[in-house]
Amino acid sequence: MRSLIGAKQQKWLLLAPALTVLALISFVPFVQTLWLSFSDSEISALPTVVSFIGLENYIYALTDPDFIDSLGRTLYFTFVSVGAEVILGVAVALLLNQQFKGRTLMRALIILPWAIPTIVNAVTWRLIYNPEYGALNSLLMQLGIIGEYQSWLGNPDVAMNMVILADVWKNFPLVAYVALAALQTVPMDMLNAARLEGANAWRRFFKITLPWIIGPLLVIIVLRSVEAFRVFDIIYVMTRGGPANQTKTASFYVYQEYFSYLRSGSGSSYAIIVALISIILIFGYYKAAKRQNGSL
Amino acid sequence: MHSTIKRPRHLSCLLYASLTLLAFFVLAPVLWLLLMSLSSPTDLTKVPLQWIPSQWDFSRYALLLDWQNGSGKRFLAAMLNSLIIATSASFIALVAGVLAAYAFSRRNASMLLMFAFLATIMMPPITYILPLYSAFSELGILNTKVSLIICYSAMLIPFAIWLMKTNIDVLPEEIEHAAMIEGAGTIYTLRKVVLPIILPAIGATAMLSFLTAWDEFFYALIFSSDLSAKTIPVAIADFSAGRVTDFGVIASVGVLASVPPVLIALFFQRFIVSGLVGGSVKG
Amino acid sequence: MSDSSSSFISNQVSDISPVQSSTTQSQRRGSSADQDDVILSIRSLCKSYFDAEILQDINLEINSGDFLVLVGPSGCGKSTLLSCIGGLTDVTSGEIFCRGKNITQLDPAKRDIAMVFQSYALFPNMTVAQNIGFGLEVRKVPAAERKQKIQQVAEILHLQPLLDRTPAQLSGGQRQRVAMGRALVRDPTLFLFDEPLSNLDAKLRLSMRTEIKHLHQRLGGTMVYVTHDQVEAMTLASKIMVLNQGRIQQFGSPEEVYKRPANTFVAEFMGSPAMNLIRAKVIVEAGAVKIQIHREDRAPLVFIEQAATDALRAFNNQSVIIGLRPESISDVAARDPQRSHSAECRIEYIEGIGSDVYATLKLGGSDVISRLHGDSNVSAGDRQQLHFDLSNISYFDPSSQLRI
Ligand SMILES: Nc1ncnc2c1ncn2[C@@H]1O[C@H](COP(=O)(O)OP(=O)(O)OP(=O)(O)O)[C@@H](O)[C@H]1O
Ligand SMILES: [Mg+2]
Repeated sequence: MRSLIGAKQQKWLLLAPALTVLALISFVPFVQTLWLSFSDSEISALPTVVSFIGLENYIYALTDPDFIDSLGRTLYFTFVSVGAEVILGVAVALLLNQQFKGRTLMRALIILPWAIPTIVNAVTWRLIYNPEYGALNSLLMQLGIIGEYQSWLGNPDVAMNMVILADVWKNFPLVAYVALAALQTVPMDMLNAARLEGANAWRRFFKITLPWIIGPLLVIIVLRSVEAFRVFDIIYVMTRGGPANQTKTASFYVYQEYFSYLRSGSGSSYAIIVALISIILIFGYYKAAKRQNGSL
Repeated sequence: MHSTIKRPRHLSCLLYASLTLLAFFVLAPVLWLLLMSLSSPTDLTKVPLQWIPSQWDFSRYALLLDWQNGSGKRFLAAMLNSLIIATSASFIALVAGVLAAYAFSRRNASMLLMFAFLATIMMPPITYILPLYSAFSELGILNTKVSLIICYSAMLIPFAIWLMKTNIDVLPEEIEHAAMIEGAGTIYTLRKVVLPIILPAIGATAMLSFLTAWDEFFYALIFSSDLSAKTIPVAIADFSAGRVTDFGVIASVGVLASVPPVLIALFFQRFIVSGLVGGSVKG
Repeated sequence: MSDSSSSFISNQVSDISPVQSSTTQSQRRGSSADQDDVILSIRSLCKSYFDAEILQDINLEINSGDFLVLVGPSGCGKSTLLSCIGGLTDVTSGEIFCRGKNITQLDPAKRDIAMVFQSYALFPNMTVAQNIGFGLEVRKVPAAERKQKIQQVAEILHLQPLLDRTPAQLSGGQRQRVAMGRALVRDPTLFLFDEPLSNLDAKLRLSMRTEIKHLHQRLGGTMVYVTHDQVEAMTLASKIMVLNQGRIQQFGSPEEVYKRPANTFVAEFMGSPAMNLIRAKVIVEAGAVKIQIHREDRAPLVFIEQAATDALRAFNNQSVIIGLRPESISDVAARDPQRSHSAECRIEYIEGIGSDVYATLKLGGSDVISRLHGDSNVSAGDRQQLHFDLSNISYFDPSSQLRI
C-alpha cells in the first residue's frame, strides 16, 4: 500500500472515535478489573480501604472447588453445544446445497431461530420444558416415549443438556449459513473428477468437500466457542444456575460473586481467569482466521 | 450446478424426509410459541395439551399493546427503549466503524490494533462489568439509556470495523486516488465515493448491529432498573420470572419482541447472511 | 490556472472547426513567453519502500505545453513517479515544484493536477456527467456553470449522448473518454496519464492516440504520460524520459532518444525491433578510423568511420559496441553514399511482416536484424548484398555501456 501525504495524522483522526469508545468501555475497565483482582475490594455503600493482597484471590479461586466445577461445566457447555451446532449445521448445509423444490424457502426458513432474540429463545424452551404443562412432556407422552411427565430443567442429570439443546436450536443456523456459503465455493470440477475416479459420496465428502470448507468452519467454530464460553443469558432465564448448581456456568458464577455476594476483589480474579481461558480461545481464532485469510 | 442429474428414488425419499424433519425442528418451537400466545389459559394447562386452541384468544396482545395498562406499559416502554438504544448504538458503531475501517484499509493502521479491537468483543463482559458499573454510578448515568448506548457501541464497533474493512479492502484504490486528485478530502471521498459503493455492506452491518443490540441482555440486566432504561430482553426475563402465571402472556411478549428482528432477518436475508458469512468465508 | 487556458472551456468550443483549431494552435505557438514557463520541476527525488529503492535521484524539468512521455520496462517505477507528482504517495527525499511552488508535502487535492488512470478509476455510483463534474463539485462551482463546462467537455469528447449513463453501461473506449473528460474539465496546471490506453484494443488505441494528440495540440496543457508502447511514446511526446530500475536513462526529444540513445539500455528498449548491438573493434590507421566487425564464415566486415570523434579514436585497438537500427541495414541503397557501406552477407533466416521483410544475419557473434524491402524474395541461406547506412550509427563503451 502506498503511503499518502499526511496519512499518519489522518490515520489517528479516523481511528479516534472507535479508539475512544473502546478504550473507555473495554481497555480501561479490563485493566481496572485486573487491578481489582489483586485486591480485597468489596462492593459497599461506604468508602472502604482497599488493599493489595497479591495472588491471594487467585489462590483462593483455584482452590475453590465450586468455581473449578463451574469452569468445567462451562467447558462442557461450550464443547457439546458448539460440537452439536457444527455437526447439525454442516449436515443442514449439505442438505440445503442439494437441488430440490422450495430450496430458497428452506434456506430462508432456517434464519428464524437465529433471528429470535436469545431471551425469547430461552423463555420459549423453558415453557416447552415446563414440568407440568410443557409441550415436550405432552408430545413425548402422546408418542408413548415417556410414561410420566418429567421435570427436564429440575433434574440435575439432564438440565444442562436441555439448556444445550435450546442453545443449539438457536445457533446452528449460523454454522449452517457459513458452511453453505463455503460449500458453494467447492469447485464442481473437483467433485466430478472424484466421481469419475469412482469415489463414493462419503469419500468425496471427507476427501474433498470437508478439507475445502474446513477453513471457514474453523473460524466460525472458534467464534462460537468464544461466545458459548461466556454463556449467561440463557442460563439466567432457564435455570438461574440450578438445579443443584448443575447449570451454573462461569459467567453466572462471577455475576453472583459480584452482585449477590458483593465481593468485587475475588469476583474480579474469577473474571480474569475466565478471560484468560477466553484469550486462549481468541488466540485460536487468530490462528484460524490467519489460516483462512492470509492476513488477520 | 447439477440440475440435470436425476436422483435415484430412495435418495429422493431420504432427502425429503430429512427436509421435513428439519422444517419441523426449526418451526415447531416458533409455532408453539405463537399458539401459546393465542390459546386460552385453560387450554394451556390441560394434560396432555390442547395443541390447537379451542378458541383463539387475542386478549394478551390487546393487554400488551395498551399503554394504560400496567403490563402494557412495562412492555411498550421496554420496546421503545430497545428501539432507541439499538438504533443509536448501531448508528454510532457505523460511523466510528467506517472511519476506523478506512484507517485500517487505506491508511496503514496496524493490524495488531485491529486484532486488539476484535479481542475486546471476544472477552466475556464480566471482565468489564464492575468498573463500568462503578464509573456509570459515579457519573450518575446508571439506569439511563445513555449508559447502554455507550456500552452497546463498544460492543458493535469492532464488528462493524471488521465488516466494513473486508468490503473496503476489495475496492480498487485508484478510485479513491482519482477523487483525491480531483480535489476531494478524505471525508468527502468517503462520503461521496466509498460509502455509496459499499452501501449494501453498510446495510448489512447496520442490520446485524441492530439485531445484536436488540438481543443483548447482560449489560441491560445490570445497568437498568426501571422503565426508563429497561430493554425488551430484561422485560421478558422479568415477565417470565415474576408474578405472571399465564404462559400466554409470556409467549405473547416473546412473539412481539421477536417481530422486529424476524422481519428484518426475513426481508434482508441475503444482506444479512452475506454479512454474517463475510468474515469467515470470503475473507 | 492561467486566463488564456481557462478561456478554452468557457469559449464556444462547439465553434472550433478544424480550420479554427489550427489557428488556436498557431496562436499558442506564437505566445512563446508561455512556452518557457517551467511547469514541473523535480529535484533529486528518491522514493523507497522499506529498503527497496524504487526511484533514485530523479531530476527533470518540463515547460508549459510539453508532452513528456515516461517509458521503461514494467516495474521500473513509472507509476510510482506519477504518484509522487500527484501526491498519492510521499517521497523519501527530494523536492517537486509546480509552477515554481514547492508541492512536495502538499495534499493531492491542492495540487491542481489531474490524472487519468490506467483502470480509468471512474466512480461507479455516479453518472458520466457526475463523474466529469466531480472535481468542480468538490470546488463548489455553481451548478449552472458546472453543467455548462460538462456540456463543453462532453462535446469535445463526443460524450453528449452518454451523460446520464453510469460507467457500467459504457464500453472501454467510452470509459476512457470519460476519464479524460474528468481531467479536462478542470483545466489543471498539469495532466498525468498512467497508461491510459493500455486497456483498449489495438484499433481503438490507435484512434485514441490520434485523438489525444489532437487534443493536446488544440488545447495545449502540460502532460506527463506513462506508456509501455514505444510507438505511442514516439508519436505523442515532445520529450521522452526513459526510466530503468528507478533511474533516468535518458531525457530528451523523441528524435534524440531514438537516434542518439544515451546507452545500450535505451538503444535496445526504444524501437521495435530493437537496435542491433554489434561487437566491433576500432583500428586507427593513418588517421582513418576503421571499424572491424568479426564474421564467422568470411573475412571481417570493415568500414571507415568518417565522422569519428576523438572519444572514438581513443578506443584504438579496443572493442566497442556499435548500434545500428534494422532500417539502417537494408537492400536499398542508403541516401548518403558517403556514409554507407555495402557488403555481401549470408541471411540466416527471414521473417516477413507484409510491408517489410526482416532478415537476420550474424555479425560480431550476435544476431543482427536488417530491414529489407517488402518485395525482396530472399530466403534463408541466401547471400545478399546489403547496404549499411552509417549516418545514424551509435557507439557504446562495452564496459560502461554508455554512448561514446
Ligand atoms: N507499496 C509498495 N511496496 C513495495 N514496493 C512497491 C510498492 N508499490 C510498488 N512497489 C514496487 O515499486 C516498483 C515500481 O512500481 P511501479 O508501479 O511504479 O512500476 P511501473 O513502472 O508503473 O510498472 P508497470 O509498467 O508494470 O505499471 C515495482 O518494483 C514494485 O514492485
Ligand atoms: Mg504502472
